[in-house]
Amino acid sequence: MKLWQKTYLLSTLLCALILYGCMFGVTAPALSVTVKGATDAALREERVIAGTLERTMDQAPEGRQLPVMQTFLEYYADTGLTFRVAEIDEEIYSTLPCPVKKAPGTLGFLRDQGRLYLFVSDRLPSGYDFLYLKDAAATDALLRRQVTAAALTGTLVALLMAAALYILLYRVNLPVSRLAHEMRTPLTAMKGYAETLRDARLTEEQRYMAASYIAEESTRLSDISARLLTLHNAKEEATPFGPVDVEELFDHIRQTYPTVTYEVHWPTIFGDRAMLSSLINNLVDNAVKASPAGAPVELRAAPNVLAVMDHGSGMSDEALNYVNHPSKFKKLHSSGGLGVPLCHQIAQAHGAKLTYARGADGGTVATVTFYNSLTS
Amino acid sequence: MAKILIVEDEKAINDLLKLNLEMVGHQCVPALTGKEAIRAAGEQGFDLMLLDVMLPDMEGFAVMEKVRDVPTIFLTARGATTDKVRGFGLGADDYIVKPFEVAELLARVQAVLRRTHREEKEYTIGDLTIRWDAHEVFQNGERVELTPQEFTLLHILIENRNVCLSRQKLLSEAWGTDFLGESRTVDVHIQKLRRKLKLEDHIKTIYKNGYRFEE
Repeated sequence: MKLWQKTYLLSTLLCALILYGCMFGVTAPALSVTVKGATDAALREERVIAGTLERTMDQAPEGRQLPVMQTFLEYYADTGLTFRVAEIDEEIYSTLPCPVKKAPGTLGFLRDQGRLYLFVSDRLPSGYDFLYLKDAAATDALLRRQVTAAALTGTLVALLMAAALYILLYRVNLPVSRLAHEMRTPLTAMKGYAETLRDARLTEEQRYMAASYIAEESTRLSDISARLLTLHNAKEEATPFGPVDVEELFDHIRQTYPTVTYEVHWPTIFGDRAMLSSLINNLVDNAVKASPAGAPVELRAAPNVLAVMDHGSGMSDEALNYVNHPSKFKKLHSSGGLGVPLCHQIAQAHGAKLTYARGADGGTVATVTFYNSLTS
Repeated sequence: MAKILIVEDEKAINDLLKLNLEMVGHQCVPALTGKEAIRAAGEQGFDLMLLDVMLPDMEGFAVMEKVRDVPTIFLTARGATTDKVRGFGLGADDYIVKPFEVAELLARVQAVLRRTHREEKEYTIGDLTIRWDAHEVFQNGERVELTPQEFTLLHILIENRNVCLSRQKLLSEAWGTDFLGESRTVDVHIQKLRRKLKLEDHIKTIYKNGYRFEE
């Protein structure tokens, strides 16, 4: 596992723990409020029923107390309430769905065969033990809903956070690992040729080849380093934008690439001059490399569009797919190296989109389309 | 002398491998893509294949599956443990991590050639003939007695012909890494070899570096 992936896993785990801790802290008081509300209501109801029962029995004629009590309590049969009345340990009356043994003066929850009940155990002034049992399915459902909602919200937020963190770390680390990989080849070659020059008995020709490779590969390294710096700046987006003279930009590029011809129908772009110059330079460089020696490369600026056209042999479908979506590829492609992802970055920083397509004569056309340009 | 197929898409590194392997007397065929390598292996036999894991057209391992019966050393990036496991699973003989040291590369190539019995059996230079498996040295048809240590030293020098080996490298290769000798020991043995086999013109002292066997 790579270091950033380890960091990712650890920080996700830590964040999830903290998140669940917070969810617990928020949910626990809500649950206790639900529980307290239910028990208070049950206690009040029990007091009313017990008081009424006591009075009813007091007023009943002697010997008729038991039938009166029965009639009175059966009145509650449809409301989900059940009772038991006992004299010392001898049960006089019971409608309980299950056997319950609770000391007088206690109240709470009990669960029987998956159902939740609220009980209040009381002793009437007349000396009877009175047990009130209420079916608490509604409270049970409410508690379950609260716990489930908290767990679901927590998991959803944790997943969103994990995804966001992954994308962030992946995007930061991908260019770095690509560059590290890109640097390995020139480093291997330079080290190898230097050792060969030191240790081996070489002919003049071989010596020249080894030294040329070292020079060539060190150019490649400094190229990577320069691109890394530009990539860094393009990401920061710290440079303030200003009007850039397109004519001047193109002319500057023609001085490096004499085969370039240009047409300007869009005099100023609003952007960063250094970054735009690097973008056009990269596009032209690739176009010149793809063209037969001496063939013209055309630059065109039309309102909101910059285009670079070459008359080379064109790109394969696979290469076109790569240059249009370099971020989808894990390995850097030979058709563009680091330059293509960089060009996309610069275009993006200017609110523009870079697309490659096949030209009418089989060459390649690179188009930068500006979507939110301020000047046109 | 062995015939080696070099499969590596970076021309700079392909040329580097070729240059060094040809220097010590091997014959090399370069291939820049997997397809090229498979075609070359189908047309001619090889004693060894050096194979880059990351090729533009296919994975190095896919080449290995197609090219059977050729001992293979694969080239991989540092820390790519899965590559190593996969390579050995497919029957690779060794691996080299990029960036590598040229001397280490040559040593590993020799080790694999020896293990797969594809190393050279005999070496002749001038009036000198050496039979490696019999540990015998003949000068003008007459047998010359060498101590085992002198023989090993000569073997290492000739295996790495045209490449300079430092005294430290010679010590670790010929005497074993745990030998705590002084580099003076190397000088003494080199003098003896030069005198016994009249190799003064072939075993060269290289300034600030060590010794080199030159053909």
